[in-house]
Amino acid sequence: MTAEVSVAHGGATVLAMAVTAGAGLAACALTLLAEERPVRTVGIVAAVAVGAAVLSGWRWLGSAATLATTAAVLLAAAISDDVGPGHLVVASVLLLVLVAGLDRVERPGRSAGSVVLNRTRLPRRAGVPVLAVVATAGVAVTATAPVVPSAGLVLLGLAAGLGALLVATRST
Amino acid sequence: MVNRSERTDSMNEHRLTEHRLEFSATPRLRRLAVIAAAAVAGAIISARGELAVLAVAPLVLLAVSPRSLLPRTVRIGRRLHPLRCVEDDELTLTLDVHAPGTDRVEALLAVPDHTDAGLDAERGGGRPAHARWAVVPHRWGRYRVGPVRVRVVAGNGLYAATLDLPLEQVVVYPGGGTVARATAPRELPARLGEHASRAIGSGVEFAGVRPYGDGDRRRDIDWRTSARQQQLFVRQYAAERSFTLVLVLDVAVDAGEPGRSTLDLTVRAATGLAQTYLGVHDRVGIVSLGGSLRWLAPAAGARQLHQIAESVMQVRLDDSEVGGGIDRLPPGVLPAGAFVCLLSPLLDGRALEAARDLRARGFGLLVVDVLTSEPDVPRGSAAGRLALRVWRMEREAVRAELATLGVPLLAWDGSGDLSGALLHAMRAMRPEVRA
Repeated sequence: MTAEVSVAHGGATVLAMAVTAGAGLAACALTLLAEERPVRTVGIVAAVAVGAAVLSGWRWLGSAATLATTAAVLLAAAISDDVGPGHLVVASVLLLVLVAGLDRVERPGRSAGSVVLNRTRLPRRAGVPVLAVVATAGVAVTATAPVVPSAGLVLLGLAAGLGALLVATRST
Repeated sequence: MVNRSERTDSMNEHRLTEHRLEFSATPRLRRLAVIAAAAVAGAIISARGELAVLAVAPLVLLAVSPRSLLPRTVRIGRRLHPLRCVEDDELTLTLDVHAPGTDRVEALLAVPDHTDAGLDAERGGGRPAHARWAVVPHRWGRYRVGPVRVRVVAGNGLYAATLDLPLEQVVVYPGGGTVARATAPRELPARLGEHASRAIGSGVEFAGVRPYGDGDRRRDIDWRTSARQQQLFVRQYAAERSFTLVLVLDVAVDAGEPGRSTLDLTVRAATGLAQTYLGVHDRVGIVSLGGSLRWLAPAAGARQLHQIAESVMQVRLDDSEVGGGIDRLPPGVLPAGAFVCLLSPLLDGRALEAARDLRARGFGLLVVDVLTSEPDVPRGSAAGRLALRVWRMEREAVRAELATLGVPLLAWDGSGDLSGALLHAMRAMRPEVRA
C-alpha cells in the first residue's frame, strides 16, 4: 500500500513538473512573436528560469521565474504590435497554470511522506480559475472593441463594480 | 454487526478536538499579486491599456478568496495505540481531520530514528478525512513519535495554515525473545518452586524408592519393586524448589552499531532471562553497574517482570556518573545461593572486579560477553593496528583472568540460546558455595 502510494505520488509529481514547465515555456514562447532582440533575450532568460525552477524545486527561483515570464510577456506586448489582447489572454491562462504548478513541484510542497487526506473536487477547484479566465477574455474583448459610451454601459460598469465589492467584502 | 475497524473509527471521531487555524499567505498569492502589479504598472508606464488584461485573472482570483471567508477552526482527532510495546511490535496511529471550507488537507508524520512508519490506509473525500499509519519501533527506549504536521490549504490555494500535533510518549521495551530455557542447579534453597532438586519432597519428578515406613501413604507404594523385593517399597519424589537469579548489567559503556550495541544486547538478554525465569515462578533480581548503582532485590511474579523492564529502561539515562561496586549492595540483593549472570562488554576493569568479588563471596557466576564489534582503526595506520593489537591482548587477559577464577564466559551476539552456558556454569558451581 505504501509503495503504491509513493509510486502514484511520484508519477503525479513528474506530471506536474511536465505541465508546469510546458506552461511556462509556452508563455515564454509568446515572445518569439516579437522581432525585437531585447524581448527575445528576456524570453530566453525567463524560459531558463522556468526550467531551473521546475527542476530544482527552489521556491525563490519559482518566484523569479514567474516574474521573468510576466515581464517577458508584458515587454513583448508593450514593444511589439504582433502581440495583441488575444495573446495576453492565452498568456494569462499559461501564467495561472505556471503559478498553480509551481505550488506542486516546489520542495516544501512535495515533502516526502506527506499524505493528502482531503481535497475539493476538480469541478469546484476549477470554477474560480475559469471565472478568472472568462473575465480576462471579457476585458480583452472590451479592450479591442470600439465602445460607444452610453447610460446602459455605465450602469453595467457600476453593477460590475458593486458586485466585485460585495464579493471582496463578504464574510462567513 | 459492527466490525472492529468501524468501531475504532467511530471511537476516534468522537475524540475530535477543535484547533484554531492561523492562516498565512501562500507563494501562490504573492505570485498572483506580483503578476497583477506588474501588468498594471506595465500598462501605466507604456500607456497601453490592453496590458492590464494580464492583471484581470490574478485580481479575480484574489478578490473571490478574501481572508474573511477562511475557516477559523478545524477539528482533529488523533490516537496512537498502544503506548507500551516491545521492540518490533506494530503501533497504530489514526488521524481524523474535519475541515469544512478548506481546499486541501495534508498530513506528515515525523518518526524518530530506528522507527518505520508506513501509511496503512487513507480515506480521502470523506468527512472527516481519515488516515492510519503503522508505526514499528525497532529499538527499545522511551521516545515520542511525531509530531503529526497537518497543513490546511484554503481560499483557492492562496492561504495555508500548519498545525503541529504532538503525540504521547511511547515506551518500547526490549524484546527479550527466548534466550534461555529455565535451567537451574540441582541443589537449591528450601523454597517452593518449579525446579526439581536433589532433595526429596512432594514434587512430581520421580527420585527413587525406599523401604516402606510408618506414616507412608499407601498410594506411594511401588508395587512392582515391592513384588520383586518381597518387601514393601514406596516411591520418592524430588522436591520442587525455586531458583534465584541475579542479573548484573555492566552499562558503563555502550559500543557497537545502534540497535545491536552492547547496551542493546545487555538489556535484551536481561529481559529475556527475566521473562524466562519469572515465567516458572523463580526469583529474579537485577543490578546495574556503571553510572549510578541501581538494583532490584530478587522477587517473583509478573510485577517483578514489569519492574525489571522499567529498571532496564533506565540504564540508557545513565551518564558518566560513577557509582559504587558490587560491595556496596545491600545483602538482600545478593542472597546466599543465588546464581549471578553478569552481562558485560568487558571493556574496562569494573566487570572483572565484580566477577572476582562475586566469586570470592561464593556465588555461582556466568559472564556473558555482549561485545560484537571491534574498534574502527584508520586504514593503513600502523599506530591504529598496534592499538588494536593491544586492545585485543587486554581482552584476552580479561578472559584468561576469568578462566583462572573458574568463571565460565560466553560470547553472545544476540542470536543464540544462553541455556547451555547457564547449565554449564551451574554445574561448575563449587559444592561449598551451593545452598
